[in-house]
Amino acid sequence: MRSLVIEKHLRRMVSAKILADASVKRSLQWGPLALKEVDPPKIPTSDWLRVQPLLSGICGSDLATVLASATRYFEPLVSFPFTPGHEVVGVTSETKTRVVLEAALTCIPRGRKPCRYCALGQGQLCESVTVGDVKQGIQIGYCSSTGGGWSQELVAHRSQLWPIDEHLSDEDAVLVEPLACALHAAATTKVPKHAVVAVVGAGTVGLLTVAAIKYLNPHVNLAVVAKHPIQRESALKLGANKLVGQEELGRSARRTTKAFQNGDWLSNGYDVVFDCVGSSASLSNSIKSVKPGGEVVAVGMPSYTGIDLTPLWHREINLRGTYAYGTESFPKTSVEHLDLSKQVSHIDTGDTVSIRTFDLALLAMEKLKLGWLITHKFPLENYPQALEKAAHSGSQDAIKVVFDLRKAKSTSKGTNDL
Amino acid sequence: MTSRPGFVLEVDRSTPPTLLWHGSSYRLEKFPKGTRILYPPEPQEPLVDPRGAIEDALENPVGTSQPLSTLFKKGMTLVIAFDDVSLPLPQMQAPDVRQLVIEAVLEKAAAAGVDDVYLVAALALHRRMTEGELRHALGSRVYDAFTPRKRLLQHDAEDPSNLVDLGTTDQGEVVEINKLAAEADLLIYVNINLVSMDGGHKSVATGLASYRSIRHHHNVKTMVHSRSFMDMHHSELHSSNWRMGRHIAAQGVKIFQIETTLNTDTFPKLFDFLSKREWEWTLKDRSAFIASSKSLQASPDWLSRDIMHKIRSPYKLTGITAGEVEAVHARTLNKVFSQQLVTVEGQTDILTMGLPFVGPYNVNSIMNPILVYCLALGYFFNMYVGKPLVREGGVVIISHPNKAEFDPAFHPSYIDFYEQVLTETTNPAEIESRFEESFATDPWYIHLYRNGNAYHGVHPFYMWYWGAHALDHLGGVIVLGGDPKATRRLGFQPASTMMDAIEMAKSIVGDDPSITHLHSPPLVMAEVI
Repeated sequence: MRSLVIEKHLRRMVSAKILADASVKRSLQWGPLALKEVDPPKIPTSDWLRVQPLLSGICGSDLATVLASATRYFEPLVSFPFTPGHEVVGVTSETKTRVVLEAALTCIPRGRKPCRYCALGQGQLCESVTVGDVKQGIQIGYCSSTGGGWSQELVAHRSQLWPIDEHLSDEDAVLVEPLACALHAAATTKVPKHAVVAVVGAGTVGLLTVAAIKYLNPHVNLAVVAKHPIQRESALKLGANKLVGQEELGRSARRTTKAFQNGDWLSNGYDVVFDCVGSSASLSNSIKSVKPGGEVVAVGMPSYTGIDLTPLWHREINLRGTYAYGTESFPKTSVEHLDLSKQVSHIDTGDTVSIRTFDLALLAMEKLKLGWLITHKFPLENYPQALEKAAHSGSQDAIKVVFDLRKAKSTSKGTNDL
Repeated sequence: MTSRPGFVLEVDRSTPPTLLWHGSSYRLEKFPKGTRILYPPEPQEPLVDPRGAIEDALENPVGTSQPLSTLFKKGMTLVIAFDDVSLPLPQMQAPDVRQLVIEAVLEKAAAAGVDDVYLVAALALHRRMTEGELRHALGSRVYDAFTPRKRLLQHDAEDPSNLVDLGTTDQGEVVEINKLAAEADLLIYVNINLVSMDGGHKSVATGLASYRSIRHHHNVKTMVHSRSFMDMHHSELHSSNWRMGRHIAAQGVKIFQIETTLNTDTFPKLFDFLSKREWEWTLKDRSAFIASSKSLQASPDWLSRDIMHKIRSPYKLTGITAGEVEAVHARTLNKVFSQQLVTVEGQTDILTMGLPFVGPYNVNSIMNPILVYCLALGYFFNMYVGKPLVREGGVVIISHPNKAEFDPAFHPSYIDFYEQVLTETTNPAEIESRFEESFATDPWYIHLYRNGNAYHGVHPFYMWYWGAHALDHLGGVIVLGGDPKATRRLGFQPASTMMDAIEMAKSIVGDDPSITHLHSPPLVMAEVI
C-alpha cells in the first residue's frame, strides 16, 4: 500500500530544518518524508482493527515534524519509521463502519492496566506512551506499529474508534479530532459567563478554539487575533465578537476592560487568552494582555520561545498548556444549553456532569458542522503541494488542508463555501 | 501698498507646475489644461502699531461694553481665558498676539489694583499645553509670574469640582462651563481668529465647556447641518454655540471678548516660495524649493516633521476688536473674510488639495490618518461660504502620505479609534451611536487628558464628525500618495499619481470632469457663486 513515511534520517532532517524557512518545497524535497509502497501494519492484538482512511488532516504538529522544525522533546516519544496523520475519518475493513479516530495511544490501546491518569479519564496525561502492545508513540501518526492517516491503511484499537452518523459528512468528521482538542482547551479553562476572552491565532486550531469556546460559553465576549482575510471572515462566522490585528491585542485588552496602562503594564485585561500560535511574540502579547491573575492557555504546540516572564510573575498570570483530550467535567449549570444526556460517555453525578471529550466533539460537530473549514483536499501523490499549501494556509486563502484518500487519484481543490 | 486679492487661474499650456503640499514635504504637479487653481489673497498689510491698536480696542469696545479700564474694581476676581495651541497654525513668531493682548490687559488690571487674576487656557477637550507652548503663547514674563502661584491653569473638562451647570438652553442643551471663569467678576477671552469658525460665543461655550455640554453641538447631526461651519449663518454648530453663549450671558457671566485677526503671512523667508505664485518664483525661490523638497523627502519622517514643526509663522496682527461678544465677532468675520475670501464661479467635479504637515490638533506632533481625514474633509472642504467648492457627488483628491503613525502621548484614543472603530465602520452616525460614549467615559483616556498631554477620549470622534458633511456630500475621496492600507481604512481609495487619481475620479464623476485645485496654505476660502 502507499504511505507517506518519515524515517529517522539525520541528514535529511537537518536539511529540512535548514531549508524550511526559505522554501517549504525545498525542505520537503530534501527532508525525511517520502511516499512509499509499504506493507500494511500488523494487527497488534485481537482488539485492533484495520481502518482505511477517507480523509486525513494535516495538522500543525505534523508540519512541524515533516519540516523538522519541532522541538526534539518528542523524539523519544515516537518510533521510526512512522506514517503521520492523526486526524482521520475512515472505514473499518471488516464492517465498513465509518469511524473517526481518537488517536491518542493510552493505556487501553496499549493493553495496559489504566494508569492513574487514564483511570480518571485523563488519557492526555497517560504514563504509558512508551510501553505496551505497540511501540512508543503518543498517538497514531507517530507510532511505527500503527501506521497513520497519510496512507491507505492503519490499525487502531477498538477503543479509539468512534462510529459516526451518516449525517456527518467526511469533512465534518475529519475535524472531530482537532475539535476535541479545542473543546478540551475550552472545557478545562474556567471562563466566567460574561468573560472577555481572546483567541490569538486563527488557523485551524485557533478557529476551532473559537468554535469550542462559543459552543461551551455562548455569552463570552470573544476577540480574535486574525491575520488573513479568510481567517477574519471565518472567525466572525464562528461567533467572534471582535477582530483584532496582530499588534493590537494589548490595546484591545485595555479598551475592552477600560484598564489603565503604563508601558506594557495593564491594570486589567482579558480574563483568559487562548494562545493558538505558540510563538515568542504571541505568548508575550498574551501574557501582557490578560488581566492580573488571569490565565493564558497555550493551545497550539509551542516550541522554543524567548519570553519576558516578568509580567507573568508580577501580575500573577497562570500560563497553562492543554494537550489533546480526555474526559471533561462541567458544573451542570454551565452546560444547560447542551443536551449531553444522549451521549454514551455522559455521567451525571449530581451537580457535575462528565463526558469524554470525543463524545462531546461528536455532539458539537453535529451542531456546528465545521466541514466548511476544509478548503483544500489533495491526493497522497500530491503531498508536496498539500503540505506547502498547509504551511502557507492563511496567506494562500486556505484553512484546513486534508489528504483525500477516497479515490486512488483525485486532485480536487476544496470549494471555499465561506 | 495694498495686497493683491486672491484669484482663480485657469491652467493653460504656459502654466508652470503647481506646488502641492504633501505632508512634511511638497512637490510640483502639472494639472490638466482647464483646471482652475484657487490662489489665496496675499497677506494684508499689518497694523503699524499693534500695541497701540490693542490699547485702542480695549478702551473703545464695541457693542454694549464699557472700556476695559472701567470694568476693573479693586478686590474683584478676573479670569483671562485664551485660545490654546491649536491656534494659529503654524505657531507664530514671538511675540505671540496672545502675549501682547494679555500683557496689555494685565497692565490695566494692575493699574486698577486687581490682583486676583487667573489665566486659563481654553482647551475644551484638547490636550494640555506643554510648558514650552505656554511660554510661547504668553511670553516668559507672564508665564513665570503666574505659574508659581498656580494662577496659570488649563481648563479641565473632566474636573467636576471646577465645572458649573448653568442650566439648559431653550433647545435643551446642557450648559456646563469652567466654574472659576463662570463665577469670576469678569471673564476676558482672548481669541486668535485664524479662520471664520473661531470666536464669537464658541469661545466660551466650547473652549471652557465640559463633555456633557460640548456633545450637544459636536455631533453628527449638527455637523451635517453646518454648511459650512466656516459660515456661521449656515452653521448649526454656531447656532448651538450662540444659544449657549446667550444663555451663559443671561446667567450673569460677564464676558469681555477680545478677537484678533492675523494676515496670511504664513511662512518665514526661507520658505517664502510656499506663499508665492509659481510663475513669480525667482531663481532663489526655485533653488529653495529644490533644496528643501529634496532634503525633506530624503529625511526620515521624524526629522522632516521636526523641521517643519519648528517653523514659526511671521503672522502679523491686522485687526483687534474688543467688547460685547456678538458685536465683536461681526467685525472679526468681516476682517477674516476680507483676508481669505475669493469668489469662484460654479462648483467643480473634482477638488484637489495638498495637505500640509500641521492641522489644529497635531501641533508638535504626528498627523495621523484621522487628522488627515479631518483636515481634508473637516477643514479644507469647509473653506467655503454659499455652497461647497465641489459639487454633490463630486470627488476630493487629497495629497498626503497618510501613514498609520500615531503619537501615543497626544493621541492615545486615536490609536484605538483607528484599530477598533474604523475596522468596524466608517459611517459617522454608526460610529457615534455604537462607540462614542464608551470612548468618552474611558477612565484611562480621562486620566491621560487630565494629567498628561492627551486629547480627550472622544476627540477622534469629533474629528470624524467634522468630516460628516463632506462624507454626506461627496461621491468619493482619493488619497494621492497615501499609504494604501491606511487610506482604505478611512474608506478612501489610494492613488500613486495625480493622473491615476483623476482617472479614478472619472469613474465617479464621469468623463471630462471640471477640476479645481485649492492652493492652500496660506489659507483661502471660496465664495462659490
